[in-house]
Amino acid sequence: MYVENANFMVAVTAIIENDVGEILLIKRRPEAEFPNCWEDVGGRLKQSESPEEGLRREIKEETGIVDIEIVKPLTVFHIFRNNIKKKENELIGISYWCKTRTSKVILSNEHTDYQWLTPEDAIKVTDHPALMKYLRIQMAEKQQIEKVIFENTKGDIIHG
Amino acid sequence: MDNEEGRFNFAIGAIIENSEGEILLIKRSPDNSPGNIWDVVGGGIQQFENPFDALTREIREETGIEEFEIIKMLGVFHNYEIDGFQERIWVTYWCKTNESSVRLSHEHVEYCWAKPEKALEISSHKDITINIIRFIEEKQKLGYSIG
Repeated sequence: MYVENANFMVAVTAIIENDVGEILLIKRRPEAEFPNCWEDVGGRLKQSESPEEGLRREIKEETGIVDIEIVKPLTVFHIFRNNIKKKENELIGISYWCKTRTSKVILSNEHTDYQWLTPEDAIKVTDHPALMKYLRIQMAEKQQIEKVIFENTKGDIIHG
Repeated sequence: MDNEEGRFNFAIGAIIENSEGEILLIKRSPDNSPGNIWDVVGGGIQQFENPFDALTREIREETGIEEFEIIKMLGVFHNYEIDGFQERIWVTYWCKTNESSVRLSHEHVEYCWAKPEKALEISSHKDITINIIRFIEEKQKLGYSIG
């Protein structure tokens, strides 16, 4: 096997849909990288943690939501943290579609605000190109469109 | 920010469907670990390689198939560290091709295009079986009958 030495950080992120079809966006702190950017929920996996466990942990930490149904993975993304093209900074992420029956959100100190929006409005509000792509894939999956359009992954930003 | 994040090997694979609605399974060579099992096409993403480029490369290397399109993501799998192999996450996509001729690499000894129900019969590995089931479910959601 020729790729044994390749290794990556792995992130898991969630398009969380409530029972009226709205999507949760959360706002990054003004001090964070990409300040005040509206983003989806997510973060990095710990060693030995499964992607679904990590996803549930991050959702709980960032939103307080524990009632989560993981519907399906939408796509993967590839970025370098802080835009530095080094092995230590290389990250592959998985974006999932999740559902919850609650709309009550308790933010952590990583975020300053949240809102539930229709996917169409979420695309208008975010300036996060990768998130726009995941929202379009989620809409296509929900409408059971035959072929999801996977654009290239350039312009993806980090989750930390 | 915490520094507890892990480091993982990451692989990408495909359930490749041909124009007859059959899917491609390839049999791992006996000296591959695990050996002699029917597998889906795919392999590890190399450092600095885009996942979709890795998928294209693996499909070409393992099957010789040049042209395909990606339909949807199917699943995410997680294998813990065993026997010195690094902990691995792997993901799979449903892909379609019009090509049916296959040229195997030295890593595989046999291939077969099988209808999904037949593929389920010959699969002997849990993760591969789950992939075939996900593929069937996705087809059924789109209104196709399977069989």
